[in-house]
Amino acid sequence: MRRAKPNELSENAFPVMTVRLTEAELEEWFPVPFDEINDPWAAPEPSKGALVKLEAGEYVVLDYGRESNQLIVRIPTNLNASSFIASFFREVPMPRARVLWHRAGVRLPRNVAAKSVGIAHKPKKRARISARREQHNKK
Amino acid sequence: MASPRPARFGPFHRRSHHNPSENELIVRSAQVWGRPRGNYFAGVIPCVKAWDGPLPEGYVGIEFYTDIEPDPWSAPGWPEWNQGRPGVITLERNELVAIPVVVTMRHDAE
Repeated sequence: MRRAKPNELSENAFPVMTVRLTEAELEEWFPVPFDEINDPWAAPEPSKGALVKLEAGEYVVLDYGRESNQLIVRIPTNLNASSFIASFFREVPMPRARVLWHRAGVRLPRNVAAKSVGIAHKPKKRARISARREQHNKK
Repeated sequence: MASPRPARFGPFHRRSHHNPSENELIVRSAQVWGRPRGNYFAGVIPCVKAWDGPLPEGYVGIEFYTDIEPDPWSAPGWPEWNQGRPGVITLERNELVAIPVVVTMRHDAE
């Protein structure tokens, strides 16, 4: 993805999805410069905003509220919402559980992780193996 | 018997701890104003923005109702009233819009 210039999108954009995430996650998953929006008549809370072009070519408007920790994802009307969501999740490694709302009729892709994926820890099995080794050594 | 609602839609609220003068402006004008979200894309138009629901306890801000229907495409929790929608007042074309409101609660900064 890249930060797009303002003149690259000349039509309004409408919400397709809202997401809860921290500011650190926003920076990690959307590595583009954001504008600070502190005019209270421009946003309901101090916010960060950016126009972004995905690698697949779609434009997306991102508005992140610093108090609510909610990201409103907006797309232009001429864009197919379902195909946009598929492109979005191909590029943004965000777990599905972070999605608070999405537009009716839009399905999240099945291959998106439900939650963050980590390496499983199995201490009990390890403990059993070491106990067996100890018994073996005693013999 | 339930008390009548002061207007068709609401309650909504604005949190104004970052701009304490906003409460007085809203009460005096009986309007909530809205500018474009920013200038990071050319298609942005002005709209009024608010938080959905009553003003939470302890927050500085205004709770209000309005007869102007929020945009049907607004994200849940984030009602908006875009320039050009029925009832939205254009104060400066493409710069500043407003909706008439009935203020039902005001909590100022101490």
